[in-house]
Amino acid sequence: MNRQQKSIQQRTAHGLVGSLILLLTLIAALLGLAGRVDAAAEIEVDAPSESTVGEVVQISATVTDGGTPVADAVVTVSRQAEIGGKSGFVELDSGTTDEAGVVQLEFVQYAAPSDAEALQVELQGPKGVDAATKFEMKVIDGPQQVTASSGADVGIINKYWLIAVLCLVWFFVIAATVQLLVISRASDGSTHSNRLIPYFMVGFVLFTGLGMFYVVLTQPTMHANLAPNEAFDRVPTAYVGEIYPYQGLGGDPADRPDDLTGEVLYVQAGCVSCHGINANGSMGGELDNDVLDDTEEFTEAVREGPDDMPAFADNLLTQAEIDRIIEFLHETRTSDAP
Amino acid sequence: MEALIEEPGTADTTWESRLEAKALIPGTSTGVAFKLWVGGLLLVLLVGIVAYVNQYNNGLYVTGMRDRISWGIYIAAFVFFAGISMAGTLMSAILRITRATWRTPITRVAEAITVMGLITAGVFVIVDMGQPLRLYQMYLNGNWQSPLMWDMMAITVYLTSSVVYLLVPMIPDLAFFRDRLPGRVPHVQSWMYGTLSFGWIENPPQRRALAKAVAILTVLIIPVAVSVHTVLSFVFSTTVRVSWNSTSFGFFFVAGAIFSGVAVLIIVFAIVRRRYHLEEYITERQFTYLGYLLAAMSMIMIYTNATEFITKGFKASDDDLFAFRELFATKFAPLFWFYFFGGLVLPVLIVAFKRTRTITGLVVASSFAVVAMFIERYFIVVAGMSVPLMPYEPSSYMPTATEWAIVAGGFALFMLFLTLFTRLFPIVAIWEMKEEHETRVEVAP
Ligand code: HEC
Repeated sequence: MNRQQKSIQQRTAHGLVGSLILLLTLIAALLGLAGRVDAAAEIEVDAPSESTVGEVVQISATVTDGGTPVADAVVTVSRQAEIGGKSGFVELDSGTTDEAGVVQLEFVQYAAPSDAEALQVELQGPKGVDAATKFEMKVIDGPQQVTASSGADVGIINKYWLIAVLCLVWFFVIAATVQLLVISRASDGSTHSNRLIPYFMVGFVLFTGLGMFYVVLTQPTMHANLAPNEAFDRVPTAYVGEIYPYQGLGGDPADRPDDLTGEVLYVQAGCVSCHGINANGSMGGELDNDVLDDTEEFTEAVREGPDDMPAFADNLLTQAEIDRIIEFLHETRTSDAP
Repeated sequence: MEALIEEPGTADTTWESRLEAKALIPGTSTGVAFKLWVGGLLLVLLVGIVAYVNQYNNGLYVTGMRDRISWGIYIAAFVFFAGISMAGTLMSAILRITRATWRTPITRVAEAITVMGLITAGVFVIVDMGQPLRLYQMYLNGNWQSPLMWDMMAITVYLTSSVVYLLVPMIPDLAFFRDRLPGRVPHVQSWMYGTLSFGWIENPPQRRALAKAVAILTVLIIPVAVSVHTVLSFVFSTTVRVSWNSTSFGFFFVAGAIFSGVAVLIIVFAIVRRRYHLEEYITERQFTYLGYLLAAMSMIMIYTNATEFITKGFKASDDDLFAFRELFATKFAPLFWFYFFGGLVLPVLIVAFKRTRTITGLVVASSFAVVAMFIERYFIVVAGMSVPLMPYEPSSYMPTATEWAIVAGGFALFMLFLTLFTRLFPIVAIWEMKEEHETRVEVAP
């Protein structure tokens, strides 16, 4: 009895001391955190008060700590968005501050759910967000950016269902055809014209059936709605409602407005149809940075048209226009490419 | 020809020997009219082949098909012939399963129509492809996720199983031809009977194997036939085109296929009956039943059209209105209203009255139905394609002479196949009729 009571008291005391230590640690931690927030840097944001959908928005942020600029700090800009009923911030761009503590950030303005958009610029510390500034930007309606929905990836919808159906059907077809063989073999042989024909027929039916299996089994799943994959990952560069002045190919370059952007030229001259939006490549290859960096070789390819590519002589595309295409591709590929 | 009927027949006029004698007529007789008919068909076919060679050399550019309306009369003909093929096998299989005895004299021709219709349908797909070697590309580089590929798979199964389904129940009759015709027909012909009767001597194992094959195929062929037309309709309804946005296309196509198939059956039966003097076996009874089926199917077609147009018309989106205007009031209006009143309403009326429910009346009704169903396929394809997907000038399509010639050639091919079949093969199922006759005689007293 006594011993038991003692042990209960002992345990209670231990519990109390433990709890106290825990509480103290928690308070200390909270204080510490608060202290850190107190001591944190400040971000000052310089952003336009409004932007149009489709426009590239540029903002600059200055990070200071107690008045002194902070260099080499990682700063991100994100916008508030709702996805699937959940609200949160989606990162738009990030950058590193220079000596003066200044960083330039930019992003393409998408259509906002309402006419104002909540944005946030954050200073990313090694252990999380060190400081944040929230601000709003008015969004003016513009053409809606085209984004390709990637479809649902339903794993159980695959070719093996089709294979199962084929198995079932062809099993019966072949089972019935084999009866021809049975009939032929059950004969006494006196009435045959040709004994090989039934074998040939069964063989033919088998061959035809196997052909169907061959088709299904050797083909990859590439339907965008069944298996979204890289080939369908279209990075948007065009806007619904955006007008590309159509000139057609040919004609005198002197008659063309000489302010056509690289983007317009890339679409208008038809490069896009073979090299793909964002030059990810389809029938023509990907125009990656290696190709883009060597301006001379790029120009040579356009002038001569390797493989199946048509040659673009200088009455179709001037050197300046090719340079603008290269410039455009450089820009989109560095900003949008995954 | 007359002499041949007499030979085994007149002395012994039992039901059985009369049937046998009648069944042997087509295998041996060739009249002047027959030769003219075949010659005429060959001529039309030849014109079609010349037109095809032209198309092959110059590409699909010689057709009226262009980028916006890229399917035309070839695809209409494809769907039409596939539709005809539906009725044959489906009819014979459903009636065999339900043991409807009135079907026995007519199943063989129905099954033959299936095979011939499918082959002709396949020809039109290849014609529409332009370069025929693309068929082989379907095997090598096809995409199994494409409804076109499903179509190819369904049609392959259907064609294979209907050939076997035509052949298997014909074996005993071919054996009968083999035993009775040698000496009276060219050597090749009797060799063919000998080969295709697979050494049939009617022993128990052979009977069992035959029964098994027929049982398997009868059950298999119904879902396969339905799936062929459903998948065929998917080729349209999975494509982003305003007029094809329909969930009921599968049902609609199956119903349309049975409808046009029954109509073709009635016409072919009437011709075969007259030509080969089969009045005793293919009686008014068969025609009346087929007439009821025709009327029922055309009412189903009216119903399906109504649901389709009422639901779309009620919502009246811009695109649907455009399609409706073209179909009901402008470009396709004559075709559509002929289809509706001539092809769907008229057959019902003809079958409804006893005075017109004669064989001639039914053949008239069926001819209207067949023409109308070709037209229906034409406007489903072309009117469907002519609704612009983007705000550009609507384009138009008119088949060129090349297309007309090839389509005519296709029809000639179908009829030629059928003519040669009725000429060379037992068109009445002699053994099945004998079997049924026996059971009927046994039951009668
Ligand atoms: C008809 C399709 C087609 C069009 C249109 C087209 N290309 Fe190409 N392009 C090709 C093909 C095919 C190749 C050769 C395969 C490859 O190397 O990518 C190629 C190659 C190239 C190359 C060399 C790539 C390398 O890896 O060395 C460049 C650069 C190029 N294209 C640029 C352009 C530009 C710029 C335009 C528009 C003015 C254009 N192409 C239009 C099909 C096309």
